[in-house]
Amino acid sequence: MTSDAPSETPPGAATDERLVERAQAGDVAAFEQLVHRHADQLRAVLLRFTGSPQEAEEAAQEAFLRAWRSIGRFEARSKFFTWLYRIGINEAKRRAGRRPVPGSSASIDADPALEIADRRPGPSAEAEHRELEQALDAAIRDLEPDYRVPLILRDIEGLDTRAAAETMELSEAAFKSRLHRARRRVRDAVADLLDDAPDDPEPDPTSPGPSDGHPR
Amino acid sequence: MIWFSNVPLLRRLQFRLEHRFALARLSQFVDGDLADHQQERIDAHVDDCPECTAIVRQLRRMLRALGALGQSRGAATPAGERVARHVMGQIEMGGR
Repeated sequence: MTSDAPSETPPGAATDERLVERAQAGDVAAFEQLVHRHADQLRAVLLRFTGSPQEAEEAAQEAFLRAWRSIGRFEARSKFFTWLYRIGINEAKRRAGRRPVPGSSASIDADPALEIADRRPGPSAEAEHRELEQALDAAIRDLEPDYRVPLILRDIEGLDTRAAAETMELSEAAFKSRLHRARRRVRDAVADLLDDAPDDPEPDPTSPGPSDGHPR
Repeated sequence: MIWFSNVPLLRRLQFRLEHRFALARLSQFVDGDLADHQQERIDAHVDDCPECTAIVRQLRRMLRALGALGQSRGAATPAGERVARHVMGQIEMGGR
């Protein structure tokens, strides 16, 4: 994996770096390309983070508008999308602080994932898989944001460690330490379901997971 | 004879030591993120340890399931379209 960008630059298209330079010179069309290129994954990250499609959409919109307003201050030392994701995550946190969402507890003591894990015998593989997804979702949202974000960026969205750490403004070592603790908590919460899961629930040769042979 | 009677004990102690070492690093281990000698050391322990074998299997399954959650990436969605439309509408209305 040579690219750490979440969305590859299409062949023949301008790179993010080039588009940012043009946007910094006031080129709205260049910024529009950046918006189209990153809107889906930014929204996906924020949806995982907030659990609310509406919050995710609004936070993503706000993130792009803030990015546009402060594009002049963006420094090309970091990737555009890590900067954008950081703005989006901060925006989502700000909103969560203003309007606490019931059920998205910050505590790791309460553990609704365990209740979901109470299952009936003999469900179909697909139902089992969906059950695992739901339990994972619940366990992820039970993590404090500082632990939730690493798991979302690295293990769900497939960013490499460098980009994910940059998004969180952490050293790679500090990022990894949080990632491994987050995995530990989520694994504990869904352990029973994982023991039942088939070894390869969804083989997908076209998009290897973040840890399938791409150690960072 | 003390020495003889303590061989199993030493072995158990050694095993506990390796177990502690491995347990703290299994997540890095499945990422292949450790130094070669540490990967090998844990690999050897996992072979001998049912608990660590089970955890490694859980971790691998969990990572696969998490990766599958994100598989929609790359696909354009109506929601992404809406975000883009809203943003560009705002920018065109308000300038910078």
